[in-house]
Amino acid sequence: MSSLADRIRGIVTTANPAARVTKESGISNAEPRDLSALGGTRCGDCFVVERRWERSVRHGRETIGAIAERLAHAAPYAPLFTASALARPPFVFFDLETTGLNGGAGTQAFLVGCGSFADDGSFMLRQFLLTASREERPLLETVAETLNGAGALVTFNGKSFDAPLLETRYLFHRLEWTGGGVPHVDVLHAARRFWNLDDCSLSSLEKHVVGARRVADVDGFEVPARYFQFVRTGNVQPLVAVLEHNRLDLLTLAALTSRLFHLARTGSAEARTAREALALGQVFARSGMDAQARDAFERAIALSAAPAGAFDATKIDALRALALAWRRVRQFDEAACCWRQLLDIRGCPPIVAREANEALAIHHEHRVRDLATAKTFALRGLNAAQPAPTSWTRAVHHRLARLDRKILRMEGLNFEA
Amino acid sequence: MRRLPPLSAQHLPFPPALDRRLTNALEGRGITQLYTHQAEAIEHAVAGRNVVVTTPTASGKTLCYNAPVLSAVLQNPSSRALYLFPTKALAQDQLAELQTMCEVLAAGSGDQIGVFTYDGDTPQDARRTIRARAHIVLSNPDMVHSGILPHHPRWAKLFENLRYVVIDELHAYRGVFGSHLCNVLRRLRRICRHYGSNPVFVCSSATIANPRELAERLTEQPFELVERSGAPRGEKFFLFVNPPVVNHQLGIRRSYLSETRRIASEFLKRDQQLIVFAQSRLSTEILTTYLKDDFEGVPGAPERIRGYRGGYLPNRRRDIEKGLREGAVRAVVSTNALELGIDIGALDVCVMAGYPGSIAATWQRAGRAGRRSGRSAAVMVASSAPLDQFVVRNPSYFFDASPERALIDPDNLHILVDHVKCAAFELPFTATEQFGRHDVQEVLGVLAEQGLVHPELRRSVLDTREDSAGGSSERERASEASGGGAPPDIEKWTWTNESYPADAVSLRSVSSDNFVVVDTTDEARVIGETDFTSGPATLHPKAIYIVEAKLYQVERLDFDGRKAFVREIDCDYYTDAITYTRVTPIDVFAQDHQKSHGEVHVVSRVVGFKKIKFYTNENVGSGDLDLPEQQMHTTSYWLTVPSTVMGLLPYADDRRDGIVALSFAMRQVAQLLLMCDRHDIGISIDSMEREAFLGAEAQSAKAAAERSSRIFIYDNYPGGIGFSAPLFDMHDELLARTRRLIAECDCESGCPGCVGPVGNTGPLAKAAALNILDLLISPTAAIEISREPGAEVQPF
Repeated sequence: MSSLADRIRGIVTTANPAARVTKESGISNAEPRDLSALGGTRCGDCFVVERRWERSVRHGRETIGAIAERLAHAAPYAPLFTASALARPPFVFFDLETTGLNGGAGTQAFLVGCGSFADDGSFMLRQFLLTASREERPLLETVAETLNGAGALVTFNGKSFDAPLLETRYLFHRLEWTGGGVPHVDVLHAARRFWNLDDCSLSSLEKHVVGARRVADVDGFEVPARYFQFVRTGNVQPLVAVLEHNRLDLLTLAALTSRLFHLARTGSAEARTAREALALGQVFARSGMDAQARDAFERAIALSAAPAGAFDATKIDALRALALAWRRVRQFDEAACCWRQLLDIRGCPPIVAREANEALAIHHEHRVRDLATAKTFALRGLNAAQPAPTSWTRAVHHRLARLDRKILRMEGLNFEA
Repeated sequence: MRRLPPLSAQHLPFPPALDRRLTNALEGRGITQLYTHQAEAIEHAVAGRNVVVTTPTASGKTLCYNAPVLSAVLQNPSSRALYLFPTKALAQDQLAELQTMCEVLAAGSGDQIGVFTYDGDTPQDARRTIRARAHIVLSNPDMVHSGILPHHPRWAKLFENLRYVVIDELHAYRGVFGSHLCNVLRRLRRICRHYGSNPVFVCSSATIANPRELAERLTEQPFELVERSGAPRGEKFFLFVNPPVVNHQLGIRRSYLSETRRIASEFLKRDQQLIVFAQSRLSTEILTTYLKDDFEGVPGAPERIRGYRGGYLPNRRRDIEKGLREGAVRAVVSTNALELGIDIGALDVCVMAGYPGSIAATWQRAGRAGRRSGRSAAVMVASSAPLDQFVVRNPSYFFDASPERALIDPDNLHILVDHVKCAAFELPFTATEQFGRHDVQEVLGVLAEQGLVHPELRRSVLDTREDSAGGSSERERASEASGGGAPPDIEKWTWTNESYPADAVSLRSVSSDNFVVVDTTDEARVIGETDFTSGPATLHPKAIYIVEAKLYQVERLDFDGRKAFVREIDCDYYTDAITYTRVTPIDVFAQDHQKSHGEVHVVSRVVGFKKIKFYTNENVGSGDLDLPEQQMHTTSYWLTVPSTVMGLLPYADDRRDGIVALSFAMRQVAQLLLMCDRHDIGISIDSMEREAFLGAEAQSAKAAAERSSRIFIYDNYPGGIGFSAPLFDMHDELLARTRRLIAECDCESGCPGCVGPVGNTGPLAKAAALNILDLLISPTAAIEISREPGAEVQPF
C-alpha cells in the first residue's frame, strides 16, 4: 500500500501530465527574492515600478511629446468614443496582466499598469506588482486611488476583460469597485472599425498603425507561467520582460488613443485610408455631427483605390452611409446620386442593391415624378434579389401596381389633352 | 400480490413561528392546516435544525422547504436560499409553483420575492440581474460547482445571507454523483464561512434505508429525520409477475418485454392511464414501438402512446409531460427519467418491465401510479436475470426488508483531489484547514509539487525579519525557508495555475461531452443526444437509433466532432452493440491468496453489433466495427483462479467456459451484496496467457501462473466508488453465495438465472464453474454459510 502522498501524486500526474514540475522549480524559496532588478520600490504594502518617457522619445512614427500634444488638443472629442459624455482628462491608460484568462475567484491581476501624460508632455507610468497574495488588498486600495482620479479609463478590450476581472478582485476583498463609475473608452471597439486588420490585436495595431517594432517580446500565453515561476522561486528574472511588455502595451494604447481622438478633432482630411475615413464618418454620424460625417464618407469614397464600378467593400459601405446621411437632411438628389453609384458597382451585395433600387423607385415616383424610371428601378429591385423576404416582395408588387395605375391615368390625361 | 390499504390524512396546525403573511396566503389557496410530516419538518427548519424528510410521492414535500424559506424571506428580505435539484427539468417544474406562491405573497404584502433558475440554460445577459435580485436561486449541483462557487465574489450577497440550502431528491445523490456533491457542499460551506453565514439544510428523499445517514454524510452536519407521512393514500395493489417457462431444459422463460406488452395492453383496453418503466433506452424504444403498433390510431391522430427517456430534446419532453397531465397521452414508456419528481399528474397503473434493481427505485416507480385517493396498481414483470428471479420468488425480500442504503465515498482520492483544486481556486487554504477525511495539507503539498498551488509563508516570520534586517524582507523570507531545514511556516496555500479547475471536473460522468444525433433525411436537424460513454454503443455506424418508435440508421459517426448522422429507415430489426472490455491492474492495494483489490485501468471498445428482429428477437445478422476505445482508471476487486486449480479441472476445453459462467454468477451476487445498481459495477475476465506477452513482469511470472485466470469486478466509475474494498472483505461470502446460487438452480447446464444462458457458454460451463468454486473454497471453510447476524438481505 503506497503512502497517501504517493497515491495523490499518481492521480495528479496521470490526470495532468503537462503540469508536472521539476524539483528545481518546485517549492524552493532558495533563490534570493531580489526585486531590485525590476527597478521598483516598496511603497507601503505595495510594490510599485515607476517609469517616465520624456517627450523627445519616439514610439513608432511619433514622439511621446507629439502624441501627448495631440491627445491634449483632442480631449474634448473623447466622448465620441464612449457611451458616456463625461469622458474627460486626465485619461488613465490601464492594462492588467493576470494569472489566467478564465476569470473566477482564483484568477488574479498580478500586475496593474496605469499610465497618463504629465503636463510637460512626458508619459508617466506606474505598475503595481503583487509580490505575495496577502498584498492584494493594499494593492487594490492603492489602485482605486489612481482610478478614482481619472476623468476616463482607456483600455484595450477592458470592457470585456480587465474591468470585470478587477471588479471581481474588489468584490473578493469586499472593497468598493469604483471603476464602474468612471467613463471607459475601450479602444478595441474603435480599432476594429478604424483599422480592420485581420488580427486586430494590440501588437498588430502597434506594427501597422503606430509603426513601432518590439524586440524580444513576451507572448501573452507565457505571462501567467512567468509569474508563477516568480512566485515559486522568488526569481524576478522572468518578470522583467513581462513588465516591459505591459509598459509597451500601455504606450501603444496611448498612441492609438491619441490617433483616434486626433482624427475626431481634425476631421477626415487627416484620414490615411478609406477605412479610417469611413469609420470616422460613422463615429460622427452616431453623435449627430452630420456635416462632418458626410465629409468623412466623401473622403472615404475618394480614398478608395478601386476604379469606378469595381468592387470595393469599403466604398460600398461609404456610399450607402452617405446616401442615408443625405436623405436624413432631405437632400434627395444627392442621395439618389449615391444610390446610382452603388448600383454601378459590380458585385454590389443583393441586400444593398435592393435597398438602392427601392430608394430610387421611391425617389422617382414621389419627387422626380418620373413614373417610367420609378417602374424600371422597382422591377430591377425585384430581379436583383431572388432570396428577398416575402413581405418586401409583396411591397414591391404593390408599388408596381400603383405605378401602373398612375401611368395609365397619366396616359389617359395625355390622351385627353 | 399485495394489497396496501388506504391511509387517511393526519393534520397539524401551522407552526406559530411561520410568518402570518405566508399562512394567510396558504389559507387563501385552501391550505388551512398541514400534514403531520410537513408541520414537523417546518418546525425543525424554522428552529435552525437541519432536517431530512422522507415521504412518498405527492405527499406535499415541497411545502416542507418552501414554507420555512418564504417565511424567512418575508421576515427579513435580505435572506437568501439556494435550492439544488438533480436535474434542470425538476428546477423548472418547481419554478412555476414557487413563482405562483410569490405572486400571491406580493399581492398581499407588496414585497417582491425574486425566484430564478440559474443553470446552464440561463442566458449570459440575465445572469447579472439574477445575482442581484434572486432571493431564491433554483439550481443544480453541476452549476453550483462550475458556475457559482468559482465566481463567489459576484454572489457575495447570496453567500452572506444564505439561510437555507434545500436539497431535493436527496436519494439521487448516491455513488459518484453523491461523492461529488458532498465535496461541492464542503466547498459551499467553506465559502459560507468566509462570508459569515451558516445555512440550514432542508432535504427531501424518497424511501431509502439510511436517509439521515446520507444527509449527514453529504453535508457533514447533524440532521433531524421526519419519516412518518401524514398524507392520505389510496388503496393500492402490488403485483409480481413471472413470465411462464417455455423451455424447462434451458430454463428459458417467455420474454419479459412481450409479457409487459401483454399486461400493458390489458390495462390500455380498459382505458387505464399508465406508465411503463423499462430498464434501458433500447427497451423503452422497443416497448413504445410495440404499444404504438397495437394502440396508435390512424396516422395524424393525436399520439396516445409516447416514449420518454434521457436524450429527448426538452421541448419534446415538456410536450409529453403536458399530455400526461391532461390525459391526452394514455400511456408513456419511460426509462428511469420519469422516476424523479417531474409533475406528470396521477396515473392509474405502473408497469415495470424488469426489476428496477433496488427496492428504493421500485417503490419510487410504483409511486407514479395512484398519487391521490382511489385505487391504483403497480405491476413488476420479472426478467430472467438472477436478481429479478430472486425477487419474484422471494416477495418478502421486497415487501418486508429494508430498502437499500445509499452509499457515497466522498474521500475517493480522485474526486477529493479534484475538489481540493477547485476549493483552492475559490479561496486559499489555510495551514490548519480541514477538508474531508484525508489530510488536506498533504494533498496540498502534492499539488504544490505540481505547481498548482503555492505555500505562502506566515506574515509574522516576515515581520520579525523585517525588524532586524530593515526592509529586505523578501530575501530574509527566502533564507528562512531554505536555510534552517525546519518546515516552512506556512500561512496559506494559494492557487497558482492559469486553468479554471471546475471545468475539468464533471460531477456525473467521465466527461461532460456528449454526442448529438443529426437527422439528415430532409433538412439536417438535431433529434437527440447521448452522453459520451454510451455514444459508441448506441451511435456506431449502421446502428439503428430509435426515437419514439421511429427508426433511424446511423450513416456516419463523426467521433471527433461528436456527431452522428442518421437517416430515417424502414426495417424490422434493431441493433445491439458488442463491447469488449479489458482490465489491467496498476496498483494492488491488498492481496490475500486468491483475492485482491486495487487500482486498475479499464479499456473498453465497441467491436461489433448484432441485428435483432423485433418481436421474435432472432439474431438476423451482425457486423464488425472499428471505433476508438474508451479508457478509465478505477478500483476493482479480483479473484485469481490459480493455474493449479485450472489444471485440476478434468475437462480442459471447458475451463474458459467455467470462468465465464462463474463470472456471470459472481456479478449477480456482488450486486446483491453491495446493494448497488447493475450499472455501478462492471465485469471482465482475463487469463494470464494473454498477459504473458504484454508485460515483462508477467513474463517472469509466466511459468508459475501460465494458465491462471482472473475475474475482475470493477467500479464502473473513474477512480472507483468504494465497492472494491467491501467486496474484498466479503470475498468468502461472495464465493459461498455464488456456489449456492449455482448449485441450487434447477436448470441442467446453465440458464439466465445462474451462470448465463446456454448459448453464451458450453454445455459443461455450469459444472465447471461449480468445480472451480469447490476447489477455491477450502474444505475447512465450510461451504455452508450460516445466516449472517445483522445481514439485511437473505439471498438465495
